[in-house]
Amino acid sequence: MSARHPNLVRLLEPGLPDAERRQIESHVATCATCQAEWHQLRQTSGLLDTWHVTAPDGNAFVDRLLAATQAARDADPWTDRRAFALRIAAAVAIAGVTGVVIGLSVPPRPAVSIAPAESGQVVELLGLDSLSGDDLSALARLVEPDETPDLEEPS
Amino acid sequence: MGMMRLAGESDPRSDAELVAAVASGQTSALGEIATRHQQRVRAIAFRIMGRWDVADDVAQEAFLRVWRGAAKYEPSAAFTTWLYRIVVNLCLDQKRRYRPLQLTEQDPPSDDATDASLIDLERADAVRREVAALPERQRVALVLHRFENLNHAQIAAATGWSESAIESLLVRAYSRLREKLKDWVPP
Repeated sequence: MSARHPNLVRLLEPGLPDAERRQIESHVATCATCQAEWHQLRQTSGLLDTWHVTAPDGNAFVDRLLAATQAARDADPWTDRRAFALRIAAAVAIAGVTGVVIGLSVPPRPAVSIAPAESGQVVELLGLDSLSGDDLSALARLVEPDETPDLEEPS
Repeated sequence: MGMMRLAGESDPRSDAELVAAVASGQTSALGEIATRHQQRVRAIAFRIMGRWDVADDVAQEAFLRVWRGAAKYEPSAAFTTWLYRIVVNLCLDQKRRYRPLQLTEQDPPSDDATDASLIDLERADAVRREVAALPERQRVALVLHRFENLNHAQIAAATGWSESAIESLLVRAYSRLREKLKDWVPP
């Protein structure tokens, strides 16, 4: 396309700024070449609009998609376990940081304990309230492997 | 702990809210996203790929990538831009695997089709064939521009190509189609 003539495809563009549209249209109004080209472009564009496409059976597509996500999850059960492990790691990290902060800021105490009301909030905060008994047992084993180590106070 | 909607519960959730829900593990939210966008995604893929089976594979993989990548989604960008970019990239990848392009699918005319409707079908089929025959990048740009009504900037965002490249691709695509489809233009 010559530099003297505007890009007429722009006129097909949705949301073309009014100023740019007016500028192109004013050129077309005075240019026989662009008038002929614009006429043909509109005809071509109209032809394209005759090609209608409707994707078949959307519900079946969504069902297949959800089945595929389930299959992917089954094939890689670690996806869920990783999320579970991340929660555990976060819980351990929070507990560790909390313990250090408490240890540094308060006089030595024999043990750090969490009140039942607070532990409930932590469980809910971490999304652990929906875990089964087995999951919680596994969590307990991970957090406290075999023996509960003594909490040593910083010297 | 599920997501709570205390107000406006009947309002449909935005795309960004649904993606956040997917990221938090709610698979049902992915179903909601797919229900909302599957028609356009599959139509884009079909118009680029030319086959419903391949288009549906592309569309399914696109939504699976949304599912896997939901946590990385930045709500500052329109969800559809992200989604279309995934679809376009998958189509371009698939094209490399499925050369040469096979374009055979067309709804068969019904028994009671009139002459006029048969002409319409033939015209639409000619359009489909000529769009399919466009070079790949021209076809992608044209599909997003003409059939999805995206502007140059949106097409650039969906493809990763520059706006000037989009403009050039569209000029060439329309010019070629004008020549190839001239016999179908009404007198």
